[in-house]
Amino acid sequence: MWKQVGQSLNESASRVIAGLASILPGAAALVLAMIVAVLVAVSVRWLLWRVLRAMRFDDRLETLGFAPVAEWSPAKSPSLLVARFAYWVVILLGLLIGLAAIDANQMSAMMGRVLFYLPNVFVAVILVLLGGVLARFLARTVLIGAVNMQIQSARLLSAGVKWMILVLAVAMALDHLSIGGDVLKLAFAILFGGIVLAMALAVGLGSKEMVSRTWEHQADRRESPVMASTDHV
Amino acid sequence: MDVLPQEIERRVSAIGTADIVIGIPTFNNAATILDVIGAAQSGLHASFAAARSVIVHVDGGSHNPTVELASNVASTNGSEPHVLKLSQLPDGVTQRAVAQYVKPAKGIACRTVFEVARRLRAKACGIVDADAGSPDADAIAQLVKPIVQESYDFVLPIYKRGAYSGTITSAIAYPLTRSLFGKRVRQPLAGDFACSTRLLDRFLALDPWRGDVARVGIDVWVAVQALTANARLCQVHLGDRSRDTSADGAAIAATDMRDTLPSVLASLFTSVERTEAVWQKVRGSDPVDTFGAAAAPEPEPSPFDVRQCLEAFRLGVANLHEIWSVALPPVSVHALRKLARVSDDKFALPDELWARIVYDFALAFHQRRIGREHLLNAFTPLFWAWIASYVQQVADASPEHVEERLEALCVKFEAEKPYLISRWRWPDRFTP
Repeated sequence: MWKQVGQSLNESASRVIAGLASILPGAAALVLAMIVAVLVAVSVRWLLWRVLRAMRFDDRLETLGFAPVAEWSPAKSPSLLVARFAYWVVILLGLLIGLAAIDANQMSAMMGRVLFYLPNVFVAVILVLLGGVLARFLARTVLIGAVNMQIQSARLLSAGVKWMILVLAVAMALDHLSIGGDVLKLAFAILFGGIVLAMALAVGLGSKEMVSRTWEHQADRRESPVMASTDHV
Repeated sequence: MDVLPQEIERRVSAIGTADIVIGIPTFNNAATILDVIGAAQSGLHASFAAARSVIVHVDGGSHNPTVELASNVASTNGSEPHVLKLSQLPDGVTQRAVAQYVKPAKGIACRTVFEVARRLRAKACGIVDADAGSPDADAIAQLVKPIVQESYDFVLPIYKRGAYSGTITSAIAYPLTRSLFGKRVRQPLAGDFACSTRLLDRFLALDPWRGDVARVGIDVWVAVQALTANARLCQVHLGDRSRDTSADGAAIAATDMRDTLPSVLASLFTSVERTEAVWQKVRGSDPVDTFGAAAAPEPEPSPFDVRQCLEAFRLGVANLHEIWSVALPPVSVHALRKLARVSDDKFALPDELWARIVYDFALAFHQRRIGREHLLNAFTPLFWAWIASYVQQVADASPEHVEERLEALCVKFEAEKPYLISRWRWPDRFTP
């Protein structure tokens, strides 16, 4: 009996070792592909950034009227944004090449499924990222603008804008991933409808006089502290 | 790229040569254009009768009868200067720029005038803003005289201004340019200036004629070029010349601080960024040759409501301190928070803190720590704080006392310059 147990163990060990041996070249290829991809990506990022800097890409973009791109991009540099994007594209390519090398048959089936879903994930991530960047940018714009117009509830306005955009972006991303389905749409319809209805009721009924007083007061405050026309420059 | 359209080129060739060229850029200046051209004509005729003078009027696409009115001025009237009227901007200034900026493309207009002056081989070229009220005929001649007769390269006017006029110049432009470039040029953003052929060639050899310089930053750019080019500078007291803040002119004078301040700051900070190799070597400041007699301005009531200025500042402290923290070191933010709690009558913004705030914003602009538009707009409540403090300090003060007050501010800017240099060179290592 012990002989049979030993034989079974030997066979299973052989199978595992054989399996590992069959995967090993693919795994080595994956590691190699990733190392090469990282090296290429770093070089591409560095080269692209240097070239764009030499071309004064940021200034040109601003000159051509694309100032908001510069305002929204991380580190306020569109060159850096382009360079980082190129970096991640190369890394993704390296990963796909490496994965394809592990086991062509199994991986191609799995990758087929992944690749089929990947665009949705990609778009969802982009939506959330863009929503986050846009929310931060617009929240800051509203905050500064409201303060300069001397609106007392500047921070509230800014936060409102920020969360509206964030919630909208997340909802769009979830919708794109087919998560939540009709519940999500319904929740949104109720939420937005509720906000609009609450504001309409507040202005139209309950707080009519208070809102009127507030706006009158704020209209006075929005006057510039300069009482007479003067030449500031 | 042709700077001058063929038709204009032909008209310039027909004139041949000139000794003096006066450029008048306009945009919706129907109320003042005739006075300005008239003053230039009679001033040049009276002071430089023997010289050949040309007046170049360049319009930036006015929506009112500026061009039609200027067209009625005779192109030449006996011995009076020739008037060259250019009712279009070369280089295709876009409608977007016209729509976006109140006074579009003064830089492009100046470039046209410079190019005409070069073709005419003029010894002196002056630029006279048409949005300033009726100028004294003699003033325009006085502006170019130091170049024609004394071989100066660059002349800036000193207009008689009250304590509350030109606050951006007093609080930022004058102290900043003086401390950075070491020359005491009192009104670097006067709008009018005159330059020599040597400087003209330098202006045209450089290529700043796109972006902000082409549109609104030409006054700062020209002054900074002159300050950094080892040019012979001088100033001339030219009396009173208030900007036209009525009717059409109101739009052009951009009386709303919230619009004016960010655009002026952008021009100044861009110049600081582009000349970093120059100003880091400059220490102290020297007076600039000044001609003419200074006229004391009449006392005027303050156009500012101190209470509202302080409310605007306190609202900024309550809401914008996070954005300010991106530009300012913690010690400055803390000082501002403390200031916000001071009662109105005891409110005083220390000069040292103000100088550091301006320097820190220039650095943050250079480093693009946050979006530049956000950064510049977030400066406005701080400027209201300076105005509140200044108005309380110079209320009922004599003109001499006002100048002393501004001199003290400039001295503080110079004293704090090592702070700017340290932060500019080692922004991460030097954070007080």
